[in-house]
Amino acid sequence: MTCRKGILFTLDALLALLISGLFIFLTYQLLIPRSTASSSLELSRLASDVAVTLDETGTLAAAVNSSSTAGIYNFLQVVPLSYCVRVRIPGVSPVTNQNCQCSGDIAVATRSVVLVSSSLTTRVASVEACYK
Amino acid sequence: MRGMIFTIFFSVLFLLFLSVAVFYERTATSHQTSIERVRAVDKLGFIRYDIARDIAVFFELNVSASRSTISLSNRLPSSLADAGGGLTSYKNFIEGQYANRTNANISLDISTLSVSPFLAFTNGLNYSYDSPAHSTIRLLGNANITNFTISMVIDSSASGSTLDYWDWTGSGPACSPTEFYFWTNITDSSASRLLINDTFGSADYSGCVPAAANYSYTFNFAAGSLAVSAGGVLGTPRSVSLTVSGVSAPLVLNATTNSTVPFRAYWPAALTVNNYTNPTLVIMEK
Repeated sequence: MTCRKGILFTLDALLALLISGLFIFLTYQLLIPRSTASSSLELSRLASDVAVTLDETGTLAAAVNSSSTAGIYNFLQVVPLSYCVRVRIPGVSPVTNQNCQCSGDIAVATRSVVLVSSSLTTRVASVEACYK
Repeated sequence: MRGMIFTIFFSVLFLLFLSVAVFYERTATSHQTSIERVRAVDKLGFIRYDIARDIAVFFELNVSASRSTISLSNRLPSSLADAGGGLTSYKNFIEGQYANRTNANISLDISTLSVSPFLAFTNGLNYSYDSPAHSTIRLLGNANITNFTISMVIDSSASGSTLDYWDWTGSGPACSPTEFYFWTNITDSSASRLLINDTFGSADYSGCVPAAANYSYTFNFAAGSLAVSAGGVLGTPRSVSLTVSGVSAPLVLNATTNSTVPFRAYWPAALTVNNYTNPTLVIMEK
């Protein structure tokens, strides 16, 4: 009888151990979505890369100058299909790489656009990136 | 007695779990904080580089470098009708609209840029302007310069030249150690390539120039002039200076050095983003 009780207590303790461990693990996973944080950082960098490339190739300035978004659209076609990217510039129609809905976080990178002619033109362009 | 042992055992077990949970929580918080710090550093670098590039656009300057050649493409003078006012309006744009959109508190000090702008290179070169309107540019060199080449297309027709001369001391790029090779490709609006007279009455567009003496020449055009100086400029040997008056031209200036030391090029503008202050804005690193 005493031996059975011991086995029961041991089983009970092991069960409690298992449940507690599971509880801590799940709580940790739910509260701190490590992969989400990393992927959010990845999205930020994608948005920044797109913004820098468009700016340094003069594509953003050309869009502001001519209101034509063809250059931006052509560049966005090389972005992997798993991402949705949208470029917004005041006074110019928004451009997206594809018709898609975002699921989850959206990262935004802003870039100043400067145009020099007889007068100075300045705009703030923003690039939004998210997972499809 | 047995009950007490169980109580102690489970209390210890509970404390163990509690400490594991606390450890996890702290690790997670630390991880999240690290991510936020990475984001903040990314953002600061992004803003700093963005503004450094904007200033280059403002001066209509493009800088690139290969292993031993620094290439500067510029336009003389500024296309802006009011370059000084444009610089102030750019500062207001960055500290206002741009700062709001980036959710940052930005302060941009352009006091040096608005008076005597320059792009400094950590290898000792200095590319400077007389003012934001930049009708004069100077590339002050150093001992490592072996070669300068300039290309310009002036928007006016040539109308003769002054009697200034260059003391070409050689006709090829193999100059003596106390000289450097200077090559020009300056054409007027009718695509005529302009030559420089030498002391012997002949004309050429390239040759060796003593490093320290100042040699200057003024090309006259129907609408204005272009003054070219090479050698010692503002007391700095192996330098070049160009000044336009009444004419404008795109310029490509290449400086070849025999130094392969890595360098950076930066503007003397101080940028403060939130509490982070950087006294220079790096535009390129090689």
